[in-house]
Amino acid sequence: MSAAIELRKVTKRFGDRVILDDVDLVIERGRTTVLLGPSGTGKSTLLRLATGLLAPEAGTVLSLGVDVFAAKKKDLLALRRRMGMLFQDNALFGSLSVFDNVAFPLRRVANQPETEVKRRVAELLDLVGLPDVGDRTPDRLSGGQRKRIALARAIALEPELVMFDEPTSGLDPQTSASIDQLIKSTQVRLGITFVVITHDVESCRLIADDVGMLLNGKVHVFGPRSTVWDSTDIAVRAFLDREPPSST
Amino acid sequence: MTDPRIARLTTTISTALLWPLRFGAFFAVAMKAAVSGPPAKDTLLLTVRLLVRSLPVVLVVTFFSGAMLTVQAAASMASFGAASMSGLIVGFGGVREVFPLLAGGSMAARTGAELASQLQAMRVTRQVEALEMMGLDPLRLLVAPRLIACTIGGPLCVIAAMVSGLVGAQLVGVFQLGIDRGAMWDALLSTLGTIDVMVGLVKGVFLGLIVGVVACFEGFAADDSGPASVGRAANRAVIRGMIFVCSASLTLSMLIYGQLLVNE
Repeated sequence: MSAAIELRKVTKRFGDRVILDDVDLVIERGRTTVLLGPSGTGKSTLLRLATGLLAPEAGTVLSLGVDVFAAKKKDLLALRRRMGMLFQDNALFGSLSVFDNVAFPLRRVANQPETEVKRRVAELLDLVGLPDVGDRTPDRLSGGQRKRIALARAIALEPELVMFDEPTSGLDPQTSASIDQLIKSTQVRLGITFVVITHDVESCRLIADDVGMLLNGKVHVFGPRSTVWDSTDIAVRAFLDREPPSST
Repeated sequence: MTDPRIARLTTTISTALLWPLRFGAFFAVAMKAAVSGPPAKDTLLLTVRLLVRSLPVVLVVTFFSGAMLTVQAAASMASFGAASMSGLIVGFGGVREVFPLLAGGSMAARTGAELASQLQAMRVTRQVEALEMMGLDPLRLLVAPRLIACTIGGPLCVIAAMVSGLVGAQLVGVFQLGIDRGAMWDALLSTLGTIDVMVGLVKGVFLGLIVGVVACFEGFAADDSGPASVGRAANRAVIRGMIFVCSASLTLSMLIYGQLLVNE
């Protein structure tokens, strides 16, 4: 079976700035892979390349076996329906209730009958531990609750691959821990591929099967969590041990 | 190292030069999305919303404009002893030009600003990306219903503007200037024909479409980002919408009434 995400010699620039420089990366299916790295090292860019929301200057991106930038628009839309994404700011529709947010892909993408939509939304809200908030609007939820609802919406269509953009960013430590637990338990329960980008080392330690670290536009290190955690590489240790960068 | 002021100026100039190209490309894909059949329920709701939001502004603006035109027309014609005929000027000048123009301008100010800020806010908060990630086409889902709502709402606003303007003219003519009620109404309507209403409807369709396309472009496709871009998008939608409405109104008048004069 093909990898969940595969980058071959991918380069991405914004103006003169090289964000990803000739990157090769393979993310296996059925595991939680966490991509770590300081801010501005191209973690979010990598996710957007994998979904076709951004195009690279060079290289090939394969997601779920589909060449993202060789695919026709129709095939790209079909590919995205096999993926879910949890955005950093959740990207919930502010004008819709929580129920309608989670129901949105079921109604608009899968065209499911309303009875099935109601059953599935109830199931998803239960899964993320918020069975009683369906009639609220997102602005009446806490940051952690909004994150849970965004996860419920991201997995509504039973995707093969779910991507998380800084899932614990802006949350307090306890809420972050509960989101980590939810990510871990959901991945185990569904058995699908989760790709998480974060700079939260503790979160990475709790949820990752594999860890990659991006540095200076390159994948500096990639492997099973235990291997990366035991690494003696100076840059990896500095990041994991939260050492401040040396100023020259 | 380039001076940052020069870099900013260069960016501003190149953005301005590229604007027509980008707008043209957006217009083409937006029209394609509109004819591909956007969600009917969304389109209906947006049309009702547009009318509820824009009609009060259109009615108030054109009511006062009709009244003002009457005062000015009466003052000008009083020197010829023909103040009672001021309705003639308001009738054809207002109905053919001023009221449709003000209806378009009011739509640009009310609906254009709202649509642009809505769409830009959805981009800033990544709601548009969320739709793309679900495998949905945001052009079909967000832009197309708004374009159709504006195109339907435009002529309705123009008709409402004509009626409101004439009522404003009639009230001021009768109660302020003391013109006979029947004479004022006859003067207002005497130069108007079905063709003027039809032309008004055609103008309404075009002006509504223009307001919609400009607003959707500024909210959906303009090269801008960050929270403050929401206000900037609304601002651009109003200013550019007004300019487009004025130039389109003149062009349509030249094409339609200019042709009628040639045929006479």
